[in-house]
Amino acid sequence: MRPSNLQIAWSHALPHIVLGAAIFVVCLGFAMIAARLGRATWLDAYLTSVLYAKTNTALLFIACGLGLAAALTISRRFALLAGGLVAAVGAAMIVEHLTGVSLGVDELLVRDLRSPHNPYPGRMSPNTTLAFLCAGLCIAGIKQSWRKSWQIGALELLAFLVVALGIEGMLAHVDGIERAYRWSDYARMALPTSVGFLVLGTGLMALGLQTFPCTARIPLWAPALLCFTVLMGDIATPRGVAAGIAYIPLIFCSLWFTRPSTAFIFAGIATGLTILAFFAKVPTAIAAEIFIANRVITMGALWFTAVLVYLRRKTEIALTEALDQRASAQKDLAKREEVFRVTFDAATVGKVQSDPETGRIIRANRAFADMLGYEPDELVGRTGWELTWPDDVDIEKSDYKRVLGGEIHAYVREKRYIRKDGTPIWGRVSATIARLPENGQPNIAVAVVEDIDERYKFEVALQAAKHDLEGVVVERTTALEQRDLLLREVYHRVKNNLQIIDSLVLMQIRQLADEDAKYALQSLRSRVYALGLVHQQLMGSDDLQTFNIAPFLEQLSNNLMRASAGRNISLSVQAIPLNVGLDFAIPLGLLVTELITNSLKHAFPNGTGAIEVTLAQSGAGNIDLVVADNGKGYPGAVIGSCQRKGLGSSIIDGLVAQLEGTLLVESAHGTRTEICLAAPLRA
Amino acid sequence: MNGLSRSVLIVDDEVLIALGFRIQIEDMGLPICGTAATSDQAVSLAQKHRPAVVLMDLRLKGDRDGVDAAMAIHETVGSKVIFVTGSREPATIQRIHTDHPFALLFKPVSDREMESTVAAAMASG
Repeated sequence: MRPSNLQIAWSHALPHIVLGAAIFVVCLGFAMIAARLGRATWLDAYLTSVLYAKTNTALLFIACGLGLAAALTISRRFALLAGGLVAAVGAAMIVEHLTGVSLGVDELLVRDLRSPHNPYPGRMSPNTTLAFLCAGLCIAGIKQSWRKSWQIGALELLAFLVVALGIEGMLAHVDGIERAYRWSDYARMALPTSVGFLVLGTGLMALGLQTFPCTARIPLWAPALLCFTVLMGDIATPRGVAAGIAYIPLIFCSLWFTRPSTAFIFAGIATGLTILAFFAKVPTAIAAEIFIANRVITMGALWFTAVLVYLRRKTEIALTEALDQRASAQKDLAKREEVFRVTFDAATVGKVQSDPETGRIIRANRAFADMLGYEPDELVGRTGWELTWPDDVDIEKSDYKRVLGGEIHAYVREKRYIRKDGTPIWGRVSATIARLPENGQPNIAVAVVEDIDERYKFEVALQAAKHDLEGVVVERTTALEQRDLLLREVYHRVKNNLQIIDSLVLMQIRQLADEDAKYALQSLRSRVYALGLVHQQLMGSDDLQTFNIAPFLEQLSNNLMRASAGRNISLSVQAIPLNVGLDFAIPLGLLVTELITNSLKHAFPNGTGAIEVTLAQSGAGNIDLVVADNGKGYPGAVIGSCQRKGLGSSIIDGLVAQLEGTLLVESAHGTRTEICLAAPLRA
Repeated sequence: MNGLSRSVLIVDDEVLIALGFRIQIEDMGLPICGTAATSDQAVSLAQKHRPAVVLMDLRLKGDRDGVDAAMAIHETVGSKVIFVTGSREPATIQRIHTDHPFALLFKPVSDREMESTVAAAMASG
């Protein structure tokens, strides 16, 4: 249960009330004893009637006061003792009242000589006894570990009963003690005793509120009991005003209730009771109009009080709400501030806030300070320009001015800062200015700074490496170009020389008459031509080292067919595309030259036939060169070598060996020469 | 072809190569009107003899090369020029094609190539 605002407001006053009540009650008890024992003339004259009370009453008041103070401060065990004693005496006297037997507690310590007309001298009145019983139980129980709502309610009820009995005693005196005694025997109570109970009861109620701060409240039965008591008094006394005014505490009870309008409800109840009392016992002693006027004045006072209480509660509620709102707004603000602080301080990028006009740093986070080798506090009050590398200041200042002037919203720039040790460090700063929402004036400059030093140095190194590499590439390219140039020149000269050799042979042929010799030299020309053709292919290739052998073989074979001029011999060349180098192409070209030349010379005595040249892939990465004719063939096949021992066959054997190939010659239907070679490694 | 003789002019700064070509042409039964080693010589001989076909080497003695000579001859005489070169460099080939060569032969030139090309040049005239 949420404590009412009044409980909160009065909580600090509660112990004082309790303590005050305890002291008052103890003092009252001693004063009563003093009055009884003193018998001083002045005391008799002025105070005896005021402080008149039985000795037991005085003693029990002292015990109650001590118990109350003990419950508040010293120990609950003493409170239990004092309360238990009071309750025991009270209970014993109640038993005496009910049964008529004497238990010997009437004159406990002192003989009562003041009430000779009393049949039971020293015995307290039933109301007083009941009140002490309640007070004793309450004192004994309030500091025990009772927390159930009915236990708390019972304790509060006891405290309230003490108050109510005190009020009843006082009301009796308002109307005259004789009348009160007539009204009921039980109502008898000395005036100081009733005041004492009023104070004691108040102290007990305050102690209850203090002990159960979150649960204690004035329960509805409290005002109800008050109403009952006052109504009884009202009916018993015809004065009207005096009794009705006693409803005013009821109105104040509404202070404990949440709804401010409770004051009006209570005022209504009190009004109803006042009217009820009027009709319950129409007075005869006083004029009716005076009596009615009294009641109207009473009701007016009640309603006036109710309005005041209502307004007080209203104001209080409004005030409380305002305070609550402010507190929650402050809480929100603190929360936002905390979130901002954490994001600012804990960020891994540098963050800086500075005055937009002077540029002085107001706040810098740890990441920024670490980047520059400072503590965050050391940076406060310095300007960003002081921390910027001199060469980078001017250009950034122009950016900043544009932002300050509202020309651009923000800028991003890569620049150097000066570290504490004087060395430069590269950072990427993003800066903007926050403006006041009301007039757009610059409020604060905000910058986020990333440490890009590593990256920047890396980029610079990368650029340098790239530049070096480009230089190397240019050098290598130049070297390659020079090499190409040189190679072309060499091939050119080789070919020119081959052409010279060809010319020399040609001239030699002119000088010869012998046909065999001429034929031999023509064969030589074919071989020289094969060499020249290889170089020609090489010169035309992209890398000057390898070329496709298929067109080479075609051109070579076709050239050799010139020797068949005038005969009907066909040629077909089937070659797979194969990139070869000089070392492979020259032997292969010479082989084809020899084989075709052989076929042309020997195979076709009747001048008709066909020659097939095939270059194909065979298994296991080998290639097969086959030169076959459909001519007459040799008498009897020879496998592995050429049959005749001529220059051509030596060349063929030698070249096959050079290429680490195998040779297979068949001449069943024409001559078929198959040479199996390992495929050349790609250059 | 107007006013051109059925003869061949051989231009090559290598005397032996020129001799070899001469034999090849003679074997075809065609007359040789002369051999030249320089560009100027080639142009003057061409203008003098007006050959139908010129066998032109690209590299010649002197400042000017075979293409210069070929262009002059093409301009003034109108002979068919057959380039014979040892080079197959792209730059060289490109240079040759700035003129209007009838054909391009690469050294060493076989009899078969020589015969067919020269015969074609003669026939085209």
